[in-house]
Amino acid sequence: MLKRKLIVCAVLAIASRIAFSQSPAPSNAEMARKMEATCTGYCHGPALIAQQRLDRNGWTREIDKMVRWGAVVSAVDRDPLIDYLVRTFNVNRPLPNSFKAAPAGKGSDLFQTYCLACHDERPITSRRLDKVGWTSQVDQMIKWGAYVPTARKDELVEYLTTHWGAR
Amino acid sequence: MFQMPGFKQNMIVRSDGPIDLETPLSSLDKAWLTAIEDHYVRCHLPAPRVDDTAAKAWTLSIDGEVNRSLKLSMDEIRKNREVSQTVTLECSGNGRVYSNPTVPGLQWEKGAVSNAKWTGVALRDVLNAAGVKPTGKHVIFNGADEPMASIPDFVRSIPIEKAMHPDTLIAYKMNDVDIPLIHGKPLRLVVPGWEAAASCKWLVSLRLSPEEADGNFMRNAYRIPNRNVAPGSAVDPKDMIPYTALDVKSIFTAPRDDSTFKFGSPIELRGFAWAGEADITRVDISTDFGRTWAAAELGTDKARYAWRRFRYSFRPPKIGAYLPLSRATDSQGRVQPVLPNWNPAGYIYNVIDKVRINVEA
Repeated sequence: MLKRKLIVCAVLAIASRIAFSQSPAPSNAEMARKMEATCTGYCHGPALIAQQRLDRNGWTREIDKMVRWGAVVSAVDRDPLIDYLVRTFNVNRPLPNSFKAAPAGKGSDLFQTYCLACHDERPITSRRLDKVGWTSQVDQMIKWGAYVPTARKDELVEYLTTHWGAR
Repeated sequence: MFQMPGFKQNMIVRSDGPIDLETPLSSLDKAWLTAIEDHYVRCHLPAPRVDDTAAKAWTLSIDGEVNRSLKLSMDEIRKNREVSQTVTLECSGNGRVYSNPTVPGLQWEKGAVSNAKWTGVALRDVLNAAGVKPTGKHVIFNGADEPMASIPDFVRSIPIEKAMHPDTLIAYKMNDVDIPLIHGKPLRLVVPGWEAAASCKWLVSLRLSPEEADGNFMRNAYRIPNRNVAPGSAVDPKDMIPYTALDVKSIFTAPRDDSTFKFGSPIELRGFAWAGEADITRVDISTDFGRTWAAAELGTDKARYAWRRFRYSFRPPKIGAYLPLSRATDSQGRVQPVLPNWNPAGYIYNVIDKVRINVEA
């Protein structure tokens, strides 16, 4: 009887494993929305998170502190959330340098906080693209792991188009 | 950059809620006295709503280890002798982004510092009116900002000696106008020379206590190791002490990092130097990677707790890339260090500053 139960459990575990591995991993955009829903809005905005450069221990400590301070993170979401934070806001990102010239105006904080978090300004300022082109570029960056607040993506595209639009 | 209502200049957004704004170096460079719209902003919790009606009806309570508890109106506070101090406020974590290993917290670069004139009354005059008992060793202060969820309230304290110092203020004016909301309308504690978390905004209560404040922002935050520690190491809380007076520091505010100049003309290197409760005695500049140093000219604008402007005219000997360095010395003999002394929260980053410039034919 016990042997049969163990076999059933083993089969179920393997089946579950297969099902999990076959379900598509959430995209970066989906994880970004999940992170925003879990971590931002009530107590602070996304910029506080996006500026950090932490390793797994650092993000784990931060998540645990936030939970102690009232954030609601389910047991199911906790590890994927930490994975996303480590993947997106990690110690390998370059030091920011906010003191270089950046055109002022609506959206410039997005450029500073989110574009320059991963690279310097040259890949942007050396291009001239129309709105469709910049939308495509921003989507590509998000696909590759960049974070841009979901609600402000259009504002960033507008800023890029205004300052580095197609001639 | 962030356009804030009432703020004319762009600020670097460190947090879009609660609002935390860093001042671009080019804005700091404009004047010895930082304009209100350029003054950096640090809020631990969302700013309370304080309109003019609420500001007029504002009260400040003083209780705890005092002979008589008080609840003072703005008019009663203003009856004390008015005093002013020009104070360089700096966030403890200014420069935290350069910590290696990295540490969490607002990732300030160099601009979480500003210099403003604060006007109000001496804290000690208000405390004397209440009569501080010998058991009142610490002044615990709280602002009207309220935490959300289970976030700890932002409550801190200063020892009675600093509280009774005649230069420690309860301010109601900033640069000669009523303090704007984001800077603490209508009352702000201003603790000159100390890290700025001691300068509590939206001040509503003072409590005299035998002990320092008990809570996250006194027991855990704004503390530094009582000895040098290896970068990245964990430090036992019992080995942490409060961070109080600012250290000696200088920063370049001009030219902008990575600027390019034509060969042949002198380049003015400018910045500010400050030292908390001490005075800046000199700022030295090196344009040859620290091999030799020369004194910069110090500005004539000065005040007990304010930064000093420094200027240095650099004439590049030939085309190429340069990395000028600035090194301040203060009246306590402290000199800016070459390398940072890492600590778990990334406080007191005050290493010799540098700015990259390029000189072309």
